[in-house]
Amino acid sequence: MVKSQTPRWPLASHWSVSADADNSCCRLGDSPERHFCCARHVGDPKTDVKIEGLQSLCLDSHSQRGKLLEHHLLLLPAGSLAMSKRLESSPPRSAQVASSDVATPDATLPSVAWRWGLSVLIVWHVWAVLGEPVEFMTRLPFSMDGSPAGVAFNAPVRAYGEFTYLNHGYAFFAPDPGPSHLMEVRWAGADGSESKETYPDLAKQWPRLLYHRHFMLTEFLNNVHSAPVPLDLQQETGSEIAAWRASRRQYEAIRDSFRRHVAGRQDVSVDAVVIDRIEHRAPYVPEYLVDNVRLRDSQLYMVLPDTVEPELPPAPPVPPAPVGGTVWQDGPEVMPAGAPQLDLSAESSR
Amino acid sequence: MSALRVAAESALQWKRQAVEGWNQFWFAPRLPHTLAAMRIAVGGMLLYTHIVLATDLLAFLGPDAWMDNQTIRDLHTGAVVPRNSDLGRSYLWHIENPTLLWAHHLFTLAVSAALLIGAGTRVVAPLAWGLQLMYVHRLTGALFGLDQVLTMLLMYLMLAPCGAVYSVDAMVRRRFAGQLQAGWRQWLFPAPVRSSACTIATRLGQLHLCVIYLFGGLWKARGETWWDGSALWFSAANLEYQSADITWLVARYPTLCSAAAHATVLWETFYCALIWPRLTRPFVLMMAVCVHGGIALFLGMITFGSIMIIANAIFISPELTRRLFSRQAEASRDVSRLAPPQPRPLRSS
Repeated sequence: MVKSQTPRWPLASHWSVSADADNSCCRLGDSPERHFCCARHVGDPKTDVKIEGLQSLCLDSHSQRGKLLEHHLLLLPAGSLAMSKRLESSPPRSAQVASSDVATPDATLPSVAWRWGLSVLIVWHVWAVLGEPVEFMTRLPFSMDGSPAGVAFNAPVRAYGEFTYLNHGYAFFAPDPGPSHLMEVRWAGADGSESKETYPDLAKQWPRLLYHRHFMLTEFLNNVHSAPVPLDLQQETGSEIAAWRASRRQYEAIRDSFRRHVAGRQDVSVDAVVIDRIEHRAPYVPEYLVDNVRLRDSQLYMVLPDTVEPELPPAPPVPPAPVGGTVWQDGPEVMPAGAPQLDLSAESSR
Repeated sequence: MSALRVAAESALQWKRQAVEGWNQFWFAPRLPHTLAAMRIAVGGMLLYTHIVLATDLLAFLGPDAWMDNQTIRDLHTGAVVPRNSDLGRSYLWHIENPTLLWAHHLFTLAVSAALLIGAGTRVVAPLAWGLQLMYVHRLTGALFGLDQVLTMLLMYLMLAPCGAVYSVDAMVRRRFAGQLQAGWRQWLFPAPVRSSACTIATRLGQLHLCVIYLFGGLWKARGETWWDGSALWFSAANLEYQSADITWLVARYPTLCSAAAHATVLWETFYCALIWPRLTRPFVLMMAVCVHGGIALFLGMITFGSIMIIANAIFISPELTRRLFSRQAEASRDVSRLAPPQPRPLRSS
């Protein structure tokens, strides 16, 4: 078929396709809209039925402008297909591939009513996909609220996104890869002996996905941590203090759930279980290369306090630099930027 | 007046083209082969996650789980912090009986396996998505990117006839071809023809992936270490993530590794633009394989790295998938044809 001179393939009663000698162009004739198509076949030239993946350049009579359409033009041997009359009002499309695993009934666009309905649903869903990341992106670090515009954008689709689990910020390893947060669990046995376990633990949680689930739990506990309201603010009744107290209660509820789980596993009283949060930071490159600090070095681990740190006294003012240049002073080595800040790679990164 | 007419005609022309473009993008029928191949991968990953969960099921779902039912309920309903309430709901919050939890989990494993092999896909695909939603709303705190992307892919796969090919459904349809050509049977065992459902599922998945990468890139751009190039170091030197130690490499080749950090940010941010032109698509997909392959091999998240590579497959044309699989099938047929015939076992009389 392809190699023949100016072949013609009747498609329907008043439709036909003609092609020039080298098959670089074909034409749909007798069309009310007179589609002229330049086509390129990518199928097997030796087989009549495997012509597919055509790109057609169509000129329609209304605009007289070329439009590159990436749909597939149907070209099959004469008499093998009755092309839908829908083609009269829409550009040629939909190659039907005759193959052992592909059936060949004609595929058409849904009706206009269906397209309207589906389009509304599509717009709604794409809005929901965008809603949470947009709002989350407009939050400042350590802030719970996005910008007013970000919040307003997400508000209509928030409930849908929450139920369908679309409400994520997608801040993987961002804004900076941070330290890990572990959990040290200690408990006193009935005989008074003290035991402890650290979570996550690759040696005890296998396969890796199970280990990672435990890792995410310890990260989650750290992310929801809220220190107790300091004594000097206990009498305050403002909304911010009330929100602080509620956050603390939520942290305690989650921590106590963890404690109950450990107590059940170890068959001890819940009161005998203590959980500490541990931060494990990565060494800086100079520490690693010059000071030979390795990833398991004890100085990289820090027990995080549960309470608010007492405020340090203000630092003494820096004396003005003498006129004539900078004075280089001995002091701590300036580390590269990017000290671990927030670990948002976990589920709580939403 | 003529200028107005030109403007009106131009506006009409713009509208016609916009509608045509919209229809073409969302509804032009598409073959199901890529989605079917993805169904196998996603079903396999779903089955694996549930098998792993089964190794310590009650620690995550039971009455004495790390996060017990009351704590999870209070968290989602905002009982403690009202502003944290959301619409994440799960009936698993109300199941305390271990036997019932195990029965439910076995059912979920069966559904995941059915999705993997494509048995009753029209039913099990939405069922798998619904069950997955119940699990993710119960497992709050223990989730990460794997669960986000897995749930997303399940959602889009259920919209399309992803069991029309490479599936038990397809075998059944071929075996009982005469009896499955009409009504609900035809819907249950769909033929692998082009359909708008495949296009909608594919486009939604593609756009969702673009959103993930865009915001992933924008968030990285808000940090500092992605700009000075040390992000790769802090990722590789995180002991808890690490599955292979490459700190020696990253620390000694800062130029190479900072270039990789910059390339990651650029790739993520501009993925949403560069993935669409055919010219740049292969390079963008190759970069995806490199980045996520690196995460899988070195950062201890083989499941997350794998599911992201699987998600990127949604940009592979179904025609290409069909050709790849049919060639493999032909090759295996050729091999079996060339293989020497097996001697028949002797029958004992």
